[in-house]
Amino acid sequence: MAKTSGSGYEYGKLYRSEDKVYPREVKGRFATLRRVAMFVLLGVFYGGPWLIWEGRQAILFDLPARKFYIFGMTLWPQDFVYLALLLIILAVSLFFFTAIAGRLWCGYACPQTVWTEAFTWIEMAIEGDRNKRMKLDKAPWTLTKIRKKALKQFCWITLALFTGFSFVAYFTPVRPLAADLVNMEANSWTVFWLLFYGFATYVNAGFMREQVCKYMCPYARFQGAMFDHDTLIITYDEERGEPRGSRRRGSDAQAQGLGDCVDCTMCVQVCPTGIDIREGLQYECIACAACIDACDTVMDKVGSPRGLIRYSTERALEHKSYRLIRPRTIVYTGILVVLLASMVSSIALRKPAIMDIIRDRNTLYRDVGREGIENSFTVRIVNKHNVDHEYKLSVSGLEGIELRTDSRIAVAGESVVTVPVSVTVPHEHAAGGNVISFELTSIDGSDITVIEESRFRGPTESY
Amino acid sequence: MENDWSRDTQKYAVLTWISFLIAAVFTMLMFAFVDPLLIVDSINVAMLESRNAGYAIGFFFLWANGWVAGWLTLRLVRRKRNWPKSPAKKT
Repeated sequence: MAKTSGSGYEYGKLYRSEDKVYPREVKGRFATLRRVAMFVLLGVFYGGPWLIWEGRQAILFDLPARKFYIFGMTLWPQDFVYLALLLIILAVSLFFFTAIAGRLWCGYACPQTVWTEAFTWIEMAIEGDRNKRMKLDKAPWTLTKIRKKALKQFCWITLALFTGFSFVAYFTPVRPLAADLVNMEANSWTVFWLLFYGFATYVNAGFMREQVCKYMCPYARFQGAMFDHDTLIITYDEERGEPRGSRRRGSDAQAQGLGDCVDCTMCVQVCPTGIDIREGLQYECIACAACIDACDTVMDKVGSPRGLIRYSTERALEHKSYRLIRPRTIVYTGILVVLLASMVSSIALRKPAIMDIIRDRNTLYRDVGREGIENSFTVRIVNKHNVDHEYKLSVSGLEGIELRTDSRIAVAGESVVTVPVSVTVPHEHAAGGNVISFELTSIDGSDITVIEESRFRGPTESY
Repeated sequence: MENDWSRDTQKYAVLTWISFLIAAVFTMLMFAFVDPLLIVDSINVAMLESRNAGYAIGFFFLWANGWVAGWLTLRLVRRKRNWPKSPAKKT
């Protein structure tokens, strides 16, 4: 399916040397859509840390305290399962959208695309469009060139640093962070990550750009597995366009035996990855649709109908009907629905308290005379509510089982309490390893019950 | 500036990037279970005595780990230099 552009591969030369890609500015429907997507996504990213929810930063991953605040919900490390579920849901959604609409992610939503778009936009604003930039790069270092290049670097670095700042602000409360930075009092790790992320943004969006998509992105290489003949791709209508060739205005192309493609190479010039879409679907194509806009503009000018390059599917190009419902989409939808349902229900049914029972590893059991056999445990209780709670701990599972330590445990809001607990069982019931269960019940009127199982160990019955 | 990426540049770029992505994911997974203070406590260097240091050490350790594993893999599966020109295959 995917044809590569690499006709020039030879033995001993496994890569093609490539010139810097100077994408030409493009105007049109999809360019507007892409710009809107860029502003919305960057707006969400840069604005996110400043949102306030119930008096606290709405989205804050407080790593030093190991608590995540997401719109009034507090997640603990123990809630890790949601993070895993979320990652899986995102991955399956990506498969799903890829199967239906191809590389929508790459063209509009990938951070690499979005920041490259922003950086290119700065470059165009300062250095001008494609031809001017190519000329400027070839020109000797005059004062104007130095001024333009310096201004560009200044804007890039500022944007990169602000990006780093916004990234860090998801992990450190943003207002104190801003104040600390201004006063040069920020935590050194915070500054380190700010510079790290800023530098990565600067290099990825300023210099590596399409190379990241072509050589480094794993998704680009795996997408073939998610595509089928009904996947929306950007295609050149070979039937209509070929044989391509330039023609004089007003001349009859059909009489000259020419197709609709006027071979203006605009589609190649606007391509951010520097490919020629007319050679067929290539893995470098990030489906940004810049070539569609460029070609539509040209088609309007020469008076041919639009859509010589367009969003289409392989089946549509073969004049077959389009199928939205097909095994692949059904399977992806099914998996997505199940995952989403389990995530929503598990968050809704989330217990406000967690109890971990850790057996004493040093002694299996202790004979404490008339009272029987004793086991020691460490009980860790996490109160995820932001209010204090008082609990009662009880134990069951064996006849005569008894809790020897204080059963009342108070845990302050959003904190963890660890208590040593010892449990005894009369000799006659204590043999071997038996499952016992600990039950934690709130006794302050709130309705919280957590049950956890552990093992009670006694001497083996070998006597 | 020419964006002329040689085979080696490609190799190291991919290696660095993929090990970075994997390290990022596994840092999340690891620290969901492990308190970074455990790492810091076991290293016991005065300068690195915060959870933040633990996170950073964990991340860079995983990154380095992935990088070295990937680098060795690439070295070991590398094709021979001066591979003899094979006769054209008939298909």
